[in-house]
Amino acid sequence: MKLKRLSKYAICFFVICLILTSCNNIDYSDNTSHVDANATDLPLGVAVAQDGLSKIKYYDGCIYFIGPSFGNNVQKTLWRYNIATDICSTVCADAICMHNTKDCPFFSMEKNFYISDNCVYYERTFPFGTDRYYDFVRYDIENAKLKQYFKSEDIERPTYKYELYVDGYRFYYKSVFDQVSGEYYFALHRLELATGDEVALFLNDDQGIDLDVQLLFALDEHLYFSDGREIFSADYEMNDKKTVLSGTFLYSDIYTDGQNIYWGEGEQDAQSLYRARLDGSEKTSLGITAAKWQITSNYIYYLNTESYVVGKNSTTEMQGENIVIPSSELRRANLDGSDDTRVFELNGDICYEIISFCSVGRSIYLSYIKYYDANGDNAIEDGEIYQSIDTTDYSIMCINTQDGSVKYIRCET
Amino acid sequence: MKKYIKIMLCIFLVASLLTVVCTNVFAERATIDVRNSVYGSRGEGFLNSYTGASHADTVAISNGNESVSVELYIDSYLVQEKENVGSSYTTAWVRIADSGSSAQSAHYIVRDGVIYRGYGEVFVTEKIFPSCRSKDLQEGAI
Repeated sequence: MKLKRLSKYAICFFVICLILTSCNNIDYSDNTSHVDANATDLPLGVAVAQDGLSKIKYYDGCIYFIGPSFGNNVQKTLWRYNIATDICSTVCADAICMHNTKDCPFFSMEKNFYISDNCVYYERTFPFGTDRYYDFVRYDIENAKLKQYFKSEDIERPTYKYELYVDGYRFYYKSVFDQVSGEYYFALHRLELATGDEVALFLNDDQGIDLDVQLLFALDEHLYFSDGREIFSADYEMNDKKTVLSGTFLYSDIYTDGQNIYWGEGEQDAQSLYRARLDGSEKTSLGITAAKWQITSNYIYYLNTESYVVGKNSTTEMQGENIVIPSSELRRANLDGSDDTRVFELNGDICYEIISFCSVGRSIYLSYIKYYDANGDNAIEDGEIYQSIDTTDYSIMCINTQDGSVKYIRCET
Repeated sequence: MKKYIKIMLCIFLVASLLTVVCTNVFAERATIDVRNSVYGSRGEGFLNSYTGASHADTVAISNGNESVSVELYIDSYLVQEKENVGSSYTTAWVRIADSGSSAQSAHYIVRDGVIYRGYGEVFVTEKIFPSCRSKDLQEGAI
């Protein structure tokens, strides 16, 4: 009898141990190489065309991202994590706002947003009910004032995710109806943020600027573009056009640190990186092939091109295909390509796919998808995928490159 | 024997009628074109809401390297969203065991940096025949 009871206890103990083992915190620090980044390393201050859909954005000491509102009636709202104080707060400054009603300036905000000059620029869409519209607004972070630039009932309007904010202007691609062809197309426009005045931009030959000509960044009151064959600059009126570099460029992923231009050649997901002076001289191969990359004031951070298979996709949305992660490592090199070092390994017990990342000082902040084959059957089921940032469940991973530790940033709602 | 067959036929008839009534009155569905005025359609969205269950999904015409996502709202409050990123996915769907008097959905497909949108809204009448739920769900447009 005693033996029977003992065996019951043993089974209970075994089950509890099993549960605890499967739930424990895995030591992620094994994934890092403990590289000690420069504390003064920051995202570049140059005005670049911002990817509005990037899940996390750095601006003036804070990481901005979209998360859930307070209360049971959840809506999307904008959050920011202050790196110095380690505090997460909503960008809406109203202390009693729950951010889930139309009174909140961020109610119904779209996923693409842009930050410049202490202001957040975004569209809000109200697609349901009788009063359907979208508008484009600016929220001033310092004084919490909201300015509406325009409002339209065309809620299914097209949007292009890259926009550039510089010197009081918004440069963006807007859909325009061509009377001759009877079709819509994207054309580059300039909005004066103080007055709301908007003009379409044309090159010297009166040719409209569509998506075949990509807006890259701005320097010294000049915009830089790429049409795939050359990188050229022009002033804000599209005069003073100068060709900077000729070659074969990808449309996007062309950056500058103010002295040099960095770009990728080849395939979008396997780019060979180069740099040259702003006048086009001293073109150099950096010896790096990257799937995704970005530059900071001191380094090039990139995802390598060694893909790997996590397992069979057995989720309810997609079955049978392998889940392939396009990169196995997050790496870092100096701006001349030297000292190429692994920062974080993505292919471990837990597999990561990095969606977006930014490096600030000695930390890297990431939004990611995490795959963990808990039952070891080489198949990924619904509960074995975690996506770090969506409105109802989110966390930002923060890798400390100094000591290799990893922490997760979450906000109290 | 004849009596038995008659009773069975009656039961079958009543059950069929109930099913039809439930499906038509207490389940609402919408098909949404995910498009924009520049490049047209890039996929479809579906929104189904029943007494006790709601479902929304976005289906892209082809796969690409960006994202497919869906947001499901019950009585205009966001209850669930899903975004699938990368070339492995052409669909994203959410389902919850809940319904209100109305359900809304927002569908997004991002291709080559361009955002395509579609929105759906359906109104669900009051629950009378809860047993219809599972059948309706199976008939959903997934």
